[in-house]
Amino acid sequence: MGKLARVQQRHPVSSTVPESHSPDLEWSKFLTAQSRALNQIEMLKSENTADADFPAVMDGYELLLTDVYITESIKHFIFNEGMDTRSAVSKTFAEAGRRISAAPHQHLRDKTFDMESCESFLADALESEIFLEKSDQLRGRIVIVTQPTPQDIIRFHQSGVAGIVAEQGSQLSHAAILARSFNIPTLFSAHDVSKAGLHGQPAVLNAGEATLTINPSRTEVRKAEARRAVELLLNQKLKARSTNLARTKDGHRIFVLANADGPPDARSLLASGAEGIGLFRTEFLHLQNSSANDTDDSRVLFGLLAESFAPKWVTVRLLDAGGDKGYPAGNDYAQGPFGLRGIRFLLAEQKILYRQITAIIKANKHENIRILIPFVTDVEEVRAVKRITHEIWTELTAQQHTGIHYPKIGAMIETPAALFLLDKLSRECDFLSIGSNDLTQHTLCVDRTDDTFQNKFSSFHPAVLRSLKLIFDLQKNTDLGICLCGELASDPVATELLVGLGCRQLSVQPVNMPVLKDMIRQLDFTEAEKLAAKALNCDGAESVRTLLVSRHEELFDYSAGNKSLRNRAG
Amino acid sequence: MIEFKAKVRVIHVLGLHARPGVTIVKCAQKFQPTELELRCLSTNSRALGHSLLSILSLGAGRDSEIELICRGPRADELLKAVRQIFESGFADGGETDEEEFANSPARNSNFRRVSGG
Repeated sequence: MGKLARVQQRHPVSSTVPESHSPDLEWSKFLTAQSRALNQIEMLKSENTADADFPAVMDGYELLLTDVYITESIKHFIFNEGMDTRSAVSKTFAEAGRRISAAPHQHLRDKTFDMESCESFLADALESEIFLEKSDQLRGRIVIVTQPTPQDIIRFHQSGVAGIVAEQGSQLSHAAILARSFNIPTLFSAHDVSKAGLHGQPAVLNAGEATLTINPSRTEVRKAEARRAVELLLNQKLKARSTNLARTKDGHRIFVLANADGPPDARSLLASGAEGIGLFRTEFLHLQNSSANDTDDSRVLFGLLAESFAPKWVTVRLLDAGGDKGYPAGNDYAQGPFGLRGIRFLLAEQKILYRQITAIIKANKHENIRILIPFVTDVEEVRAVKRITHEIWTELTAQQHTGIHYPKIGAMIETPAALFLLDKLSRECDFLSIGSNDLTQHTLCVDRTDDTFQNKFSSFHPAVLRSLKLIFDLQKNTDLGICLCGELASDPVATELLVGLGCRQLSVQPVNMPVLKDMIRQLDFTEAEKLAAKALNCDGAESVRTLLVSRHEELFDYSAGNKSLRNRAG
Repeated sequence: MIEFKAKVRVIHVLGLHARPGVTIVKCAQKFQPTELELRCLSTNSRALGHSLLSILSLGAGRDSEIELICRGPRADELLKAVRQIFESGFADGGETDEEEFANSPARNSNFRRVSGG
């Protein structure tokens, strides 16, 4: 249960340009919002007749929304202080709240009457939708979307939505299954729901019965609360077991590592069961804030992380500039999926490469930091990094740095070139990582950022799966560790397939860790191998998807009130 | 313009709080454009009868003395009606019992609970 929020998946380009301030426009926005808020209160009153006190509270909100001091204050902020409507409303209500609480006689502050609830009517009426980029506003909300992608679902999950209502898309779509894996109540194929103007209204979503109740009665809310409490309990149990190892039913151990994007919270990663960091992206150190790319800052950050995780691996990927990620300030190269990307850029601009490797070696006091080279297309690129590492190592030991260790070095397999050089690369490297996103993009020749080809971009494509099989098969003859990173690794629909293909290390988004580990524990390796064999022989990405989705439905049902899950959790 | 004035006392244990505030504003609105002013003599503050925010900011606790001033057409009728509200001890909602009022916030939180998710 929660308030509904209409979510716009794509942010219109024009809104990135700040609009010029027009007081008249802002004031008319307020007037519209005010009358919408009043209408909504009127409607709530007529629908909650059972509660004797409720209308009185709503009357009070109505009076405050039309209160002369409040409207004059909003007018003042808009016309005299150049504020936009939303800020003027916030400031006015904050001041009004202070004014009431500053009054003598503490007990006069009737708690039924809180300014925040009153303000929220206006705030909701001011917006008819929330953009996906503002996903921090979505906590506890039931979001209404047109047709969410699996990536959208992951964002919703991270921002803690209470439920998802989608106009289009089937209950058996990839996105829907993903949402259910995260235990988010969903309602798909809810046609025309976005046109109903429900933004901001309280609602109860019952996924089991596929119903959405707008402005629920108190009894309905109470029932929904009870249902939700049971679900949360299940989630907690899932989380509590996440620190246990993930082994299939027939004893195959799968390592589940975490991806880390920004300065990671090591304690919470470890608590959610991370068996190391499989991919520590360093772009945030170099692309967003140029002052942060100091060797010392990086060293301290890597060092702290390595200390918390020791003896587990912390895999630091060297700066992966280019592509859709951009370049550090001052480097004016053409962007695109090809070109000066990853290690190519680092070898062209060696300053950053030297700084990163120096920081890594200095931080490697627990012998658990590994260097990962991005976008390798040439054995010589790996050799160059090894040469530079050796050079820095020699220099640092000559300067009598003690207690530091030589790092392991590995390559990202994410291009067809690397794939065809597997035998040579595996001899050069201490470990390998697979970047599923780029591997898919370059195997299928589909630019991931190009919307017109989005339906062609699928890591389920048999060509991608066969590439993965080739890579995982390397493990049969060597003891080389191969870790799968990228979106594919975090996708619960793909987990059984990946295990069947021979994947033994997954580096995943931390939020997905509990559910993925739980799923692995229910898998049978022989069955997974059979599924993988079938998928490898499919004709296209779509038939693989259909196969995986029906298999997933058969094996797991994380939907609300599901009996088998309840039994397992209990 | 003729003014009609009267002094009233807040009897209710919770003082001049939100619920009677709503009643007063609604009453004053019926008589618009006739003005109602409330002066709380103990806190030396003033409020406009048709602004709930100003009434809630008066800080008029139990036993405060309040001067009511009405100006405009039918000012006498408005004064009488508002006096009535004060003299009834804000009892029109049927709740004057302290304990019952203390419980009321929880019972009224229906809306917030829904919105809170």
